[in-house]
Amino acid sequence: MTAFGTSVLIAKLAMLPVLVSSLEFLYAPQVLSDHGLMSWAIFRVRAAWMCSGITGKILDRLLSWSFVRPLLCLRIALSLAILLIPWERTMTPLLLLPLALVEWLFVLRSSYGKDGADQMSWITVITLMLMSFVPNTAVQHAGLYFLMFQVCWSYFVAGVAKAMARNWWNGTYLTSIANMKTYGHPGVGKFLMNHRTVAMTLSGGIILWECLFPILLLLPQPIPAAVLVSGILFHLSNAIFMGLNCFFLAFTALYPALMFVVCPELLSRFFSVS
Amino acid sequence: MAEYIVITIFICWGLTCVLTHVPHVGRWIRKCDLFVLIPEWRFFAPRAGEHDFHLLYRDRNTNGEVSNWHEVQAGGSRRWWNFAWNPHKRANKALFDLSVELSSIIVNQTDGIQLSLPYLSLLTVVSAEQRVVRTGQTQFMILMLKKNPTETTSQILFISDPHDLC
Repeated sequence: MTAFGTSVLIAKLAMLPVLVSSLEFLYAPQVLSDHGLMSWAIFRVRAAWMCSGITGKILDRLLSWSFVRPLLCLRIALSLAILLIPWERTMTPLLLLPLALVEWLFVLRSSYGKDGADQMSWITVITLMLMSFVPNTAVQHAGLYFLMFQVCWSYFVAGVAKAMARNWWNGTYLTSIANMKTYGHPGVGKFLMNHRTVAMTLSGGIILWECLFPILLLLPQPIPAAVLVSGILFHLSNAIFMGLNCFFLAFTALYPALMFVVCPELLSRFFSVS
Repeated sequence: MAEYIVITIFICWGLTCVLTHVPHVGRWIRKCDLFVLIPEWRFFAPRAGEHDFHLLYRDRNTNGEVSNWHEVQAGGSRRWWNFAWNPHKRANKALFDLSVELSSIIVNQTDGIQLSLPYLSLLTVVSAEQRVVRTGQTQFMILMLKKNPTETTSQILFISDPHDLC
């Protein structure tokens, strides 16, 4: 598969978390209202340029509660257009630039209630937009390497941060998370509470997997391919047991970039379009 | 020319992501990051949240009578289909973020708490809750719950001052 084909595949896959997250906001929009937990009316006071002067006026017009639904509809329309447009016309600034602007408005609106999936989606959209400006092989390669770096860096940083906490090594934090209402799962939480050794092993495995992820990709096949499969399973389990649905979509959307670099033949076998 | 510009942007962006982890430089970079392009990958590390946060409020009417504590239903409970569709995760996460930020403000500063974003946000949320009578005052509380092998423990993180309901 060519670099351009891989970029297009990523662009289409990356629209799924944008689409799902927009539909979720439309289904339960109250959180974005002026009296909600992600209120723009409150959050805008964090910086003078966001609540005063000409920038304050423009942003208030665009991000006010009354404009949220139209903005979400625009976000859905743009992500659907990128998802459904013919393959060769996907990487166009005509769609990616407005989408990046809409994404930026949502990034500005509130930092509360956001997670790693939103952050990765935002980075992906900006990267794809830059790639669409110069659709030549060198830029497509650079963009794919950059996206690969972001995935590897995210795991590595999180892994090192966990490795520095004793309660991650002994499984305490993993058990606590599994028992939370917000991110937990009653069955898994109870199981880990009753099986401390499993919790410790699983937690240590996550730390090592996250820290070693970038290094393992450099080893000979089939190790990188196995690491990528384990990554997909890792995100899938996070979606099932923690409810992090967009996290799964946002991160696995970038796996074609990893495949393009470490196992291109596998990418071509899975996705025959080039 | 354009290709060199885009490739340079990618290189600088990547380097900046790495430099963010240098203590003093990182703080400065985050301050300048208007577009929020520099990610903060933590994934529950180094300290994972161990508690669920609950937002409660109570009112005092004009006669001085104080109501019971009522919980604000921020998000819904977990359902089996949340692996694909989880519309209430934002509200749960927002309450989590606001509570964590408020707790760090409580630890690090003694005054100005009432003007902080989490305090104002939470007060706005409880003030907007449906009531039979909207007179008197309201105050909110953040309660932390943690499930242990034998019991569920609760701890009060914060109780606000009473504020007039308008």
